Amino acid sequence: MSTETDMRPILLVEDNPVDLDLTLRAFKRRNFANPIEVARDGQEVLEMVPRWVAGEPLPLVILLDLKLPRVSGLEVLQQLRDTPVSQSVPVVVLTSSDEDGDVQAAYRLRANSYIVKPVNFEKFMDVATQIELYWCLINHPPS
Amino acid sequence: MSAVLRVAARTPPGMAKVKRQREAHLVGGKARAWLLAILAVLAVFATEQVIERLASDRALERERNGVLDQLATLRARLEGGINANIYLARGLTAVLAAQPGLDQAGFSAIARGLVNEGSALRLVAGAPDLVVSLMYPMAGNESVVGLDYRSHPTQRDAALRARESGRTVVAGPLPLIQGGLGIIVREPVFLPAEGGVMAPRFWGLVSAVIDADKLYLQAGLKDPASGLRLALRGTDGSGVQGPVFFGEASIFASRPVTLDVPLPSGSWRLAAEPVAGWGRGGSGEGDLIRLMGIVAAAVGGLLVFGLVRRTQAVASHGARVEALLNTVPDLIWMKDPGGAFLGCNPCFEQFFGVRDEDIIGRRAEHFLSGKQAAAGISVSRGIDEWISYDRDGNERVFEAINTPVTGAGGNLIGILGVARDITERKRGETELRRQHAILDRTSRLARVGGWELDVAGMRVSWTDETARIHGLEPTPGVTVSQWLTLFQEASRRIIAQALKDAVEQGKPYDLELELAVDRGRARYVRTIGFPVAENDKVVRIEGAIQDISARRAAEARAQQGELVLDSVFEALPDMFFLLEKDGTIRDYRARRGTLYMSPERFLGKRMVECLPHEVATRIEAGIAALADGAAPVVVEYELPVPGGTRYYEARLSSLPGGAKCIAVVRDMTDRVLALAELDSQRRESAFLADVIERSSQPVAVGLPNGAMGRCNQAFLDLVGYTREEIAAIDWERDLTPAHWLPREREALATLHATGRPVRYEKEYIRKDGRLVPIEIYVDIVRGMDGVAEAYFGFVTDITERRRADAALRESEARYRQLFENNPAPMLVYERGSLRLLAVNSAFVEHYGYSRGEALKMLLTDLYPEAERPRIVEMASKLSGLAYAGEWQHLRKDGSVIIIEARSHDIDYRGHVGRVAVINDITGRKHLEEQIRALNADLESRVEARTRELEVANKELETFTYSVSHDLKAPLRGIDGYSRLLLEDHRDQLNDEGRLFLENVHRGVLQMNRLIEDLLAYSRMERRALQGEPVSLAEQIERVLDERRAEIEAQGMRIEVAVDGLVPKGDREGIAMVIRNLVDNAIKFTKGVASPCLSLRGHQTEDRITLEIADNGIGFEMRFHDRIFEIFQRLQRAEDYPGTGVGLAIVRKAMLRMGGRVRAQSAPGEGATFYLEFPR
Repeated sequence: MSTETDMRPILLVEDNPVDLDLTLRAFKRRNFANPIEVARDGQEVLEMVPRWVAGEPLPLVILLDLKLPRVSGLEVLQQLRDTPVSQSVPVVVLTSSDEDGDVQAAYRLRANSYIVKPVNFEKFMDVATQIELYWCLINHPPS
Repeated sequence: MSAVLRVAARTPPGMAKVKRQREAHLVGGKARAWLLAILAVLAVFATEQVIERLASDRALERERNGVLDQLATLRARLEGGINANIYLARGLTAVLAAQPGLDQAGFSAIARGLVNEGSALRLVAGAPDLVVSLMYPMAGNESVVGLDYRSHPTQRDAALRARESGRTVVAGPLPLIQGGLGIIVREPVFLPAEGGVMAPRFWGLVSAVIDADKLYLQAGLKDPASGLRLALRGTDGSGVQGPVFFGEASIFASRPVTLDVPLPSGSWRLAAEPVAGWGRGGSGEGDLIRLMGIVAAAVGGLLVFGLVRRTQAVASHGARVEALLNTVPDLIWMKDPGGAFLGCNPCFEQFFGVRDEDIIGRRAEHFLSGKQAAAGISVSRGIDEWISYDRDGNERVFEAINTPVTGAGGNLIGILGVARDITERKRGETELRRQHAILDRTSRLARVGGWELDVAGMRVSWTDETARIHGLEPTPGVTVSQWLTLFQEASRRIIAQALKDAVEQGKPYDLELELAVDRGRARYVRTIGFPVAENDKVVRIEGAIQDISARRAAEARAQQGELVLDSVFEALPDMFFLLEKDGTIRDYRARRGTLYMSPERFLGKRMVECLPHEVATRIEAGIAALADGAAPVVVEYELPVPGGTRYYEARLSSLPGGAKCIAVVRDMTDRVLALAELDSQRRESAFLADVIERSSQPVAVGLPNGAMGRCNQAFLDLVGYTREEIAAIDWERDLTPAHWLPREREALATLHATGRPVRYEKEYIRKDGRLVPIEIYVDIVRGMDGVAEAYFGFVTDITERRRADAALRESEARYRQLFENNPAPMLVYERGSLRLLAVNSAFVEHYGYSRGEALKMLLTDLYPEAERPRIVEMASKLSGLAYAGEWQHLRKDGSVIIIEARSHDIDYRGHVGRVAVINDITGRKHLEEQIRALNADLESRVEARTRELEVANKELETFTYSVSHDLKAPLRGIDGYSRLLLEDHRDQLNDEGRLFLENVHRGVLQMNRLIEDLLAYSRMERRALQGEPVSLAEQIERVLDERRAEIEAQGMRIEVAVDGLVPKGDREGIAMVIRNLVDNAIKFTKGVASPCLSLRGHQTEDRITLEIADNGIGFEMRFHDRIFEIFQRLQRAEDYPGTGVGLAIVRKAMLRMGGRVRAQSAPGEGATFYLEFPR
């Protein structure tokens, strides 16, 4: 592992176009160095797994919404954790829900972090900054 | 030997003619007189002791000793008789050992000499290999020939015992086939070892049958003159354990003198008591006769010796003679007429220490040397004494005899010599002679003389002392007739008769006689005569005489005194003991049967040796305490006896001189026991009197004359008189009311008539005049003449009983009424039979049975057929108060009712029963059925409703979940894009445009807060709240931390006082409530000068109250309820922004936690919210 910044992509799983757009804008405004891949629902994420198995680079971190069409975020998380290749990829749940039940379920499925999306856009941008700062620069992910 | 010579020197001339041969055998004839003298001396000594001990000795003991002497004599004779016969049998044994093939003719020839008229021997038999084949006499005994001992039922054991032991076995006496009683001597015959046979070989048995009756006769057991009753026991030598076979068995049961008669195997026991019983005179014949027994035995031995000699003629030469010779312990040799030795037995070789090859063919002087040679070998033709020396040089004395042995043709073959070692016997005789010498001297001192009467010459030769005793100068003797004149007339007749009997019948005598008066002084002598026979004819009488005048005089005096004393002592219950100072018991006097132990066990012994240690030491201490002449010392003690303890009292007093003391012992047992009994009775009656006095039962004695006798305190209490007063009253007149007198007189008449105690009820008049009902139990005490002396009565106050009876009657009536008039049906049934004993009116009414019908029914008849067995079972188990459960009952009309019953044990007129109360619950049961049906319907409806609610709740959850996500996403979009617009396109907007975007932004935040509050409210609804102890202080601290910025910004003062309050609730719920109220306070104190918030808690028994008070704007109490409703606001949003949800959340949370919230306020005066939590 080099000491340089790890340039693997961040995988953003988000179905809501407004939230997706605002998130990407927020990252863009903070001059994110890492490329951002987007999955629009859970199924898309699961379809990536065979590619990772084939050798494509794993994402540096997965930002996962819970309320997703087709396959829910908690199901995706379970599949990722049940699959050897993706077992150790950091997953940050990024959702509107601050329900106890959701928080507990996510952590039970070994989510690495749980972040409630603020409604206030300024706070939301702060969150994006903090995520990048932590997961892409400070955190040392498994390779 | 010098002693013997000296004896001979002093022997009177008349005794010198006794044969030398006899002298060799037994105490010499010359010495005979001296022997008698010795005995007399002994008698003197004994007599001296008797005199010395007269004050103490007792006639009985003397008598026993006398009987013992006699018995010893008899025993010696009996023993001698048996032994003589045994020797005969042994002689035969020797013959058979030498001639194992002896035929009947040879056997008869030998036996003929043994069995003759004079002998007690009746029969001899030989049984080679245990089968009888040799017999003498044969006539009359033919049937015995062929008897096989091994198969004979009664003789087998004795025969085998003889064979096994190799020793003589004496059997019997037992009845003989030929008649009479026989004692059978069985001798085993062993052949000497020969050839290759190393051990002696058993040949068979020799049996000799001794005529028991003849033996008894010869031994003197049947002599009435003995004055003794005799008995013998121990058939087959079984001794003291065996059956009695001579005399009366009862003799053993009394107190006989006994002696054992030793036999070769086992023994007999001989017992004797005087014919006239103990306590009458009589004296023994002395040891002389015992000597006779020994003489008889020795004669028997000689006979055998002769027999052996005779067998030499019968025996052929060779090995068998040798075998015989080898077995004999005597020295036996054979010389040719020329003096050369032809042979000798091993004994001979061993004695001289010479081997036979050095002996055979040589003369004695050739193989003997030294002292042995000097002594030579006896050549005496008669039996003679011969002294020689054994191989070690020790002198041995032999009795030797040499017999010529002739061949078939009468030619002399040689001389057979036999020598028997009599050294030990000689030593005994020498010793005896030495004693004679001493006695010779002492006899003079003791005034004992010897004499001998020559029958043919009718002359008496005597010693000098005899002459002196008769008052004559020493002379050699006198004629018999002269001698007789020396006796007093009566004594003369006695001695004349005794001498006649001695000469004619051989009877010895021992007489005490009076001599003719010498110078006016009576003189007494004891004279003993013993006839000596030669050839069955008494040739002389030997005797001794002793002067016993002094003794007789003393005896006469003492006897008289003693007779008196004896009768005195016999009459006294006490025992007298003469004691040494060290406690040795020297003598005693006691009535027969009072002694604790037999005299032999204590006489001459110290008390510690014969009495229990503790007793002995106490008595000895008593003796030690005796002072000369002082008062007697009394020692009380007890001794264990079979069957209890006897108590004694010993009075010890010192005899003059102080060396001895007297103990007078009295058996106190009866007195001790009687005293103990008396004491116990006295104590018992005192105890009883005490018991009666203390008894709570009034007891009184009334005399027939109306006076009162004794009475106890309880009686006094009952009638109210003092003890002094009661003595003065008349029990009939003063105690009994007039109307009770007839009853009382009737009862007392019955008592007199029947003699049996009576019990009746009446009343007493107390001293205070009150009447008290009593029951009295009266009995009568009659004097010796049968006249009534007193009545005694046991009185019971029956006031309480009367009262209880009345109460009981009343209570019974009440209960009867309760039973009869009870509106519930009731019945009583008998346990076991289940018969109905009673029913009440309600039962009759309810069931339709008449009372008469009901009382013929069983409890089970009330139940349907199928239930009856269960009823029987259940009824047997019920006890106490029991709920019998619900049952179906049948009424008379057949209709079924449902009842429940309770029952209880009852004693109903003597029946063990149960009373049951019946409750007809038929109607109630119907109602219950309906209610049950309704409830079931209700439950199903509730269930349906609950299910509907659950669905609605689920929907609500889904709704709020969606709200939280779906409402927020657009809001984020609105705010996000309006912010982007404001930032990225600010230049293109004017002020108004920018204001609009700010308003959009504010609206979004307001909307967001509203959503958050709604979610919080709904979560409070959905959340499962915990009921755990929660520290109020912690939660307040937490909330105040969260709101610190706002509080500080507002300058608000906070007061908290909730220490130690820990209500039960949900941690988040409580935090939520506090947070909302703190927010509320912050909000409504905005703009208030010095805003203040206080949180105070206090608790009561069941709840904890937290008061949260502010000094904000407050509200009117008419809005109290509205402020807790959702979306209700009292202020304008622009003044006090809010969602109108906060207090609704508070109320909801408090309700969910089982608590409640209320508020107290007034406009402008702040508000106080009271949160009440359960504890």
